[in-house]
Amino acid sequence: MSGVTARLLAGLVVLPGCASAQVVGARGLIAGVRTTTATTATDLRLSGSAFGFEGGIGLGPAALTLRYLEGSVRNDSAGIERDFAEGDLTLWARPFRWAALGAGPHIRSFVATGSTERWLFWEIRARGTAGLLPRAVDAYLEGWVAVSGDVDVPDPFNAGRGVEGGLEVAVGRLPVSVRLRYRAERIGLGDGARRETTEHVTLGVGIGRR
Amino acid sequence: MTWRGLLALGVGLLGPPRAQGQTAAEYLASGVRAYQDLEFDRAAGLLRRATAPAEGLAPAETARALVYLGATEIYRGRPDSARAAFGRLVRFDPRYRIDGLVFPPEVTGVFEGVRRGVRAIGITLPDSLAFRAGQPGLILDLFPSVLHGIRVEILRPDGSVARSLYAGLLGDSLRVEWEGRATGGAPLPSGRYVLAFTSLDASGASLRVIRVPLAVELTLGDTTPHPAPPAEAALLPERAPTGPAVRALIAGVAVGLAVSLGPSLVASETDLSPTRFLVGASVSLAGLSTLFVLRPGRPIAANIVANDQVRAAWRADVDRVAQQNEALKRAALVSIRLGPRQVVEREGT
Repeated sequence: MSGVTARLLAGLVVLPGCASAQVVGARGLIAGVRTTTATTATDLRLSGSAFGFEGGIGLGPAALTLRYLEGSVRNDSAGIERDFAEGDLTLWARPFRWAALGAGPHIRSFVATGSTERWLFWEIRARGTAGLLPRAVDAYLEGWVAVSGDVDVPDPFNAGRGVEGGLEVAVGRLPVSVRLRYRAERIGLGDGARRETTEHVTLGVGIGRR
Repeated sequence: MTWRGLLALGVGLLGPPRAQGQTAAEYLASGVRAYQDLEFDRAAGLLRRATAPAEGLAPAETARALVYLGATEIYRGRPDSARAAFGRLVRFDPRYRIDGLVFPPEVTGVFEGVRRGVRAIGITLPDSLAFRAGQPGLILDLFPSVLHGIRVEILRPDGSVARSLYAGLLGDSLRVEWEGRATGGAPLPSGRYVLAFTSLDASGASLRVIRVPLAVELTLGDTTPHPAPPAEAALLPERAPTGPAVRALIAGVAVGLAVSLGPSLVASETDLSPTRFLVGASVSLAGLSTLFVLRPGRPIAANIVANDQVRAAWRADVDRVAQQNEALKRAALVSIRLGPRQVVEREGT
């Protein structure tokens, strides 16, 4: 996803927690990213940073969230550097105050010199939220599976799943919150010959009305 | 002693033979005529008969008979008997004054001497009365024979004082009012009492008591029951409950563990970043911190204040209802009946 697209979407940016908390707002993100590509021959680990945003809008028990990150990862010893961008759009339904189910596309691209890898997954997500301190601190845990995928690499999409968890803290009485989360995702390609693991540690600060 | 003297003595001791159908009024009229005819012995017998308690002479006629009897005894040379008759007269009607145009100074002088020495009270009393408690219902006008100290009290059957209406000197006249209340301001409960008028001697000792039976019936209006105290459900918890803190602790630790260990299940063969433990620990610490923030069992000042306001409002309601009930009691209808007065004299008076 290009920077232009990101800017177009920036007008509707919210917190990923909106699916469980019905918030409207926007949050800027800074993330540490690490990708591990494991094949039968070798493991290639790239790490770097990314910036982006997330946001959403909720209406009743339904919510729509959008998340976008772009940055670069590198492996200095191997002399490899890739730009990357990724985003997901999820439509959530919240049958309970503490639980939400969602589904939507998740795209990712890696740009190296002369080539671009594009990944597209359709994912089903489940999220649970626990209020630790009322209207102040929430913890949440989210898991997902990719039900289908399209990857423009020689190995076909096989399976994908991921987990994410973290903490959201409201800052005083202001409509400002800080979110810290860790997410890990595993995509299997081919007949298990290649496994792509992506980890994010993200810190987000934004405004929103809980 | 002449035969007339003996006759007079006999008449005085035995009284004249009562003619059939002769009434006390006729005895009085005959006695006055005998007095005017200077037949003092005969007059004394007739007047004594007229003033006998059983004869039932009208009050004004009784006073007239007694004054003529006293004057008669003076002229019979019996000053003690004269003073006794005048004493009866003063006690019977303390306000009575002898007409100086009718009786000579030697009579009025003796009477005045007796009057000054007899401490008696004249009272005007209704037979029955009904009034609202708190209103000046029972009005008693008191007249003394001579200036002296008195007490006016309402006594319980055991003799204790239910209400003191007056204690002090009674000079020319005195009006005492009773509004239906006992000492302390509460309405006098229904029951039988005695309205006592006590004349005191110079030392303050009881000399003479007029006792009037007093039956009191108090009719109260319908009172309102006091409002019930606030139910527990209406009050906010004044101490922080344990449940939310424990649940937050469990949730925080569980999510923290899941963040720390869950990725290993997703990507078991990969050497994952240890930062997940940092995030997981942060979540767990946040859960743990709820114990210190929520502090189960801590007093919740806002709820305590709110509950105090609820309780204060309840107490105000109770006070208001109590005041309303008290006002109803105070405005109760007091019905009284007064019985015949009895006079109790101290021995030797």
